[in-house]
Amino acid sequence: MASTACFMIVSKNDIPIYEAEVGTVPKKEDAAHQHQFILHAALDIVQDTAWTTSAMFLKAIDRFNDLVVSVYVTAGHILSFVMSDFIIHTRLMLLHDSRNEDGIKSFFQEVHELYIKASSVMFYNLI
Amino acid sequence: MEPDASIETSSMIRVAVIPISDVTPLLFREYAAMLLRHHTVSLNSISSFYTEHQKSPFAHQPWESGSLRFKFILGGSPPSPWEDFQSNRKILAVIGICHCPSAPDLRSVVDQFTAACKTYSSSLVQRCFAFCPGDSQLEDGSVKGSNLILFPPADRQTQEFHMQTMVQDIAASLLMEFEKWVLQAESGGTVFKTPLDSQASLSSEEVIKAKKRRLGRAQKTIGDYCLLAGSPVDANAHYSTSLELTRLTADFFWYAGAMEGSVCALLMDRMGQKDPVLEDEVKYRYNSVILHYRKSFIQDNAQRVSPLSFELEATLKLARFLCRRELANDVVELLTATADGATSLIDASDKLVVYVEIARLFGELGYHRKAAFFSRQVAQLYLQQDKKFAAISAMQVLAMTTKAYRVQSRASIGPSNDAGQTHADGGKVHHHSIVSLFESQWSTLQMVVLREILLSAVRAGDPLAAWSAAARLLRSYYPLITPAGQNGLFNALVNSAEKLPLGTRCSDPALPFVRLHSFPLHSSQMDIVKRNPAREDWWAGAAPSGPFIYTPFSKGEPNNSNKQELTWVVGEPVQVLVELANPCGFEVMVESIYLSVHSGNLDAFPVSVSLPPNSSKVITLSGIPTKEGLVLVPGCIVHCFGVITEHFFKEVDSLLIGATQGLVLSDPFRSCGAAKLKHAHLPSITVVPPLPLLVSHIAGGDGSVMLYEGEIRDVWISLANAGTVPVEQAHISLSGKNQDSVVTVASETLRSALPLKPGAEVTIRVTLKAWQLSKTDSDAAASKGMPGSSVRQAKDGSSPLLLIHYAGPLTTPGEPETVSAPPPGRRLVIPLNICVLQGLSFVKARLLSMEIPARIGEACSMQAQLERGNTEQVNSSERQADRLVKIDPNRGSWGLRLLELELYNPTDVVFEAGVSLDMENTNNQENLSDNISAEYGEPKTRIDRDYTARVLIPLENFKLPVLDGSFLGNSSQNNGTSGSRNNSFSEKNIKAELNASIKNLISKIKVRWQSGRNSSGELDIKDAIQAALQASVMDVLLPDPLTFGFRLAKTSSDDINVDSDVTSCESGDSIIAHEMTAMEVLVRNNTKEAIRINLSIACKDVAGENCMEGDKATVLWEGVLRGISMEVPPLEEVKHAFSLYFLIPGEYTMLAAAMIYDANEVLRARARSDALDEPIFCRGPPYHVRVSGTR
Repeated sequence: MASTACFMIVSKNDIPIYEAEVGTVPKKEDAAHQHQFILHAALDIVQDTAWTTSAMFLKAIDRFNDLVVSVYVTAGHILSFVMSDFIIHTRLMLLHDSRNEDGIKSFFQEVHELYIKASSVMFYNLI
Repeated sequence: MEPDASIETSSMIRVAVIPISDVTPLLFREYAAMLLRHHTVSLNSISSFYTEHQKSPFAHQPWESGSLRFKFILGGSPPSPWEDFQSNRKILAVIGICHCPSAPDLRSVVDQFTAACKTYSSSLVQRCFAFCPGDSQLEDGSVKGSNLILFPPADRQTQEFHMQTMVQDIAASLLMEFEKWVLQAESGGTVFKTPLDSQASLSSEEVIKAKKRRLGRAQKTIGDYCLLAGSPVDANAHYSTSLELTRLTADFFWYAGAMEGSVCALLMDRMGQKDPVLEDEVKYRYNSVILHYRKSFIQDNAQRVSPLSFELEATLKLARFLCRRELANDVVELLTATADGATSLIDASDKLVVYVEIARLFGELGYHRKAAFFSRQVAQLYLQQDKKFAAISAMQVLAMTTKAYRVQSRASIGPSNDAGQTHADGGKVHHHSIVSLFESQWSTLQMVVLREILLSAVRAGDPLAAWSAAARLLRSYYPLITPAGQNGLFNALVNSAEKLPLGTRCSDPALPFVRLHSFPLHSSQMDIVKRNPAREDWWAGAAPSGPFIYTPFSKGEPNNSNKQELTWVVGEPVQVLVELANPCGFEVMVESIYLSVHSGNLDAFPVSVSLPPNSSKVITLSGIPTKEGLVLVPGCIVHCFGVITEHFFKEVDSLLIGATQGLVLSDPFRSCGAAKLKHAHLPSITVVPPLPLLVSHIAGGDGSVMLYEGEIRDVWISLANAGTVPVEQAHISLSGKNQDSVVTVASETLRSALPLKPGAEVTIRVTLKAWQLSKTDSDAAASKGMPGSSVRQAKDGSSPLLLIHYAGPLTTPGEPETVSAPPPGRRLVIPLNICVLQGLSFVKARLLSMEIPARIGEACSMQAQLERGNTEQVNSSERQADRLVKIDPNRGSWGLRLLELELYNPTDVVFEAGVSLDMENTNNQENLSDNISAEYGEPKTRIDRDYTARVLIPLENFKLPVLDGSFLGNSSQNNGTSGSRNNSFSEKNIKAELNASIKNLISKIKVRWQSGRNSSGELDIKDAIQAALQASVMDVLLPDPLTFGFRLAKTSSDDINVDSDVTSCESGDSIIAHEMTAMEVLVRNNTKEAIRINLSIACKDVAGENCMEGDKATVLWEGVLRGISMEVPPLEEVKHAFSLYFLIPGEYTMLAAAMIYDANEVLRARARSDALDEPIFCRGPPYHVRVSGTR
């Protein structure tokens, strides 16, 4: 069964730093736009919900038609850089149509680990 | 589905407001606006219009606090199929609006209105408002009795009052109609049907079912009317009954409807109070409403009609009720559910309404991105319809999303407040603000949105919006657009522009990118200097003041472009360099570009420029300031692609900063290969009133003046005032290297010419003297050849600069004296381009001595003169007598020193060198003529190219007339003889004085040269002369304390005059052997004190050159006369007569010598003797005596 999945990492100031169509549905230009539009709109909801819960994984936080947005909000890492301390409040967002919650959760956790590894490199400045 | 649905909608009386006859839309809107204000009419106010015909069914009507609510529908609406189900959907009243001046026949107005009302079958009350009727119309009685209401012309207040009364009348009529209707409905057997009910044949079963349900539905409808009549308590009672009945008959749809009505009644009853309990109640009931609407879904007619729209509408109503930030979660949940449901809506317009409502509610909640998302969905639905109006709507809806997607047009942001603001904080842009500019990097979305706006604008036929969208798309996302796409946008821009009238302005700039490059410096001819009125040297205050010599803030040139202040002058053209970049794949033709001046005091000149694909260009934009004050130049006005846009420098600056931080896609200038430019800040520019403007012109061309080393030449500089204000103050100073080379500047000439009126001109003379080339320079010149070196010299910047600070009047005429700051002054820098060529070069200097003994017999003329005049005269005449090189043989030249200068001419021209002695230092006026004659009388030495020549300078003339302590030290003179006794005569003092004297001497020696007709100069050989003289300077400078002379004594009867004397001198030999020859020795005291001496005279026959010194002389005859003691008074001459008797004719040498008794320090110093008791011996020069034989 073909599935849709659009994965995105959104950094502080809501700037997307990574975007990938990871679904198996043959890629369509319009769909990609639509996915981004949905994810972009979902940020409004993530922004509110993230503060109401201590959970990092916000499953099916938003949906449009049959597409569901699940979000993994990384804890506000305080990365002590040489000169400045700042919080990177990054959101890993996945737009999907499958209901495999566990799979999605473990996917997020894996990505999160990799993300921390990447951002811990001192000279790597994630915007 | 209806837009704007809320829970309260059920209680609103729908009134159609329709234009009758010809009413312009504008007027219609204006009259309607007057009506719309009366959307709520309190029951209290209508009681006077209300008459109770029968017992009112609204038993619990709250006459004191209740009200009727109207929903005016402008233009009316078609009847809804759901009117029976929700009575508030019925058009219950019709109000016609007529503008009498455009509809003269009132009868026809009435007819038209009646016809119009027919379409509203459900309407209970009809009124036609006719505004501004004429007198004849007011008197027209034919319309009496119809429902035409004339609003006579009156002031606004009266009209509004009239309107209010009419609305109250309508409200009362409606209320009475409602009562009538309710009474009828209760008794009558009206069947209430909805499209949901089977429309086809009513089978018996269904008829029974309908009969069963009729009561419940009737109760619900009565409840609706109660709500409309503003009686929630009555409504609630009917709804309760209805709920019971519909529940029993499983009429879920009507049950839900009744439930909705009951919630509305509940809220009406509570009069807008909101408390959590009420909220929970509403939520609970509405959830039930939604549930029952869902339950009423019948599969049979799902294709045709569905209660889904009611379910969604109910959901939206609840969401609207709850729409608060605190309940965002609930609202989002409801709205998401609505959005889900919307997909299965059959009617496209229903879907549209749902999305519109969702977007609005999200917007209300503050979820702008969500709102934008649904707005875009709406726009897409519109775009699916292939109609122009739909496209216009799509465009308008998309325009609302631009803020959330951060692609808004500059027009929608409004005039940016700080567009023209200069960076007050030193041009620092905060990181945060830049980030917020590019906060959203959702470039894909942004491009999609802009493309959709472009598409909808093209379809809607709005060329300006299309142009703006294409411009934004191109400007912001050109790196992401393929060349083909860029060309498409280019075409879109051009096509849109064709449809626009010429000179259309758009707030969104397209290409090219424009950034501030620099402000060209004022040319050195036009420098503006702040004037410090408190100081005489007013320009001095302009320099940075403070305790520090160096401040990092004032680093750099005073006119550096970094400087935050710039001064422009009214009427003088100014220039600004801007850089344009076209990073796209097509050629950009900028039809005109000029500075945008918000302050309005600069006339900018447009420039046209064409930018090839992927190129950048620096162009100069110019303008003329017209008025004093601050100038704000925030950007440029660009006329490109057929539209005029304003490009702000600040935006591009932010873009470039963003590019360096990786926030923006690309730096357009860098991608075009433009050089990396330091961020140029907009300085604060002040325009000052007109200033004078001096223009300099060097006579003979502005090229460099070619001078040989040491050459002196006059340069004439003409200064003209090209400004419009007279020059009132001017000061000339020098700066730069080799300032010594400017000998004189005729600043007096300039000063006397002040005030220099506009257009006036003054010529000043500057005397230049070329400096000496340094060793390396001349070497380089030799190796390179002359022309090369001259160019280099000129470019070196080794030439001096003439600075002229000048200013106009302190106050401009016509202005009060109290103007705080005077207009600034100016500085004119005239570079004196001197190109020094290697000239006559000095090789070496030598001091030579020449000794020729004098002849006694021929010294008479000198004696005669000596006797006649005083010493001064003698001195001068002496000097006159012995010309520099001509030596009087009678006097001889004993001890004469000659300075030999060897000069070399490496140039390719001929030099003539001559030595002159400047006797300017002597204070005797008489000598002046002598000096001049000395200068002009001297012979020139011609030095051909590549030849060496020697020039001799006799130094005898420099002997001082008096041997005085003052030449050796001050102390002796000050203290007199007693002072001379003490040992204050320090070596140091002597040395210092001597050095001064030497310098004096050296400065008198001038080697002037001339080459060709107009090149003349002076050799700078002071050092060389000093070196040559150093050893024997004392002998050269100081006279001996005693000078000795011999002469033949005159015969007693001799009282000859000069003339005879001369003749006798010329007669030749006068000493004869074997005769007594009377002679005199003359001893002259050159000091200021009397000297006692012991004189001795020696006479030897001559066999050698110098028989007095040296051992080689063979002396045959010798006699000495000694022991002559005498005292010579100061500065006087003493004669001592003696006689000689020569036995043998021949050449004899006579020598006088003296031993000085009690020599003082002066003498001792002169004799260089250290010991106090050592006698000082003084000797005169040898004199030759020729003794002839017998006559």
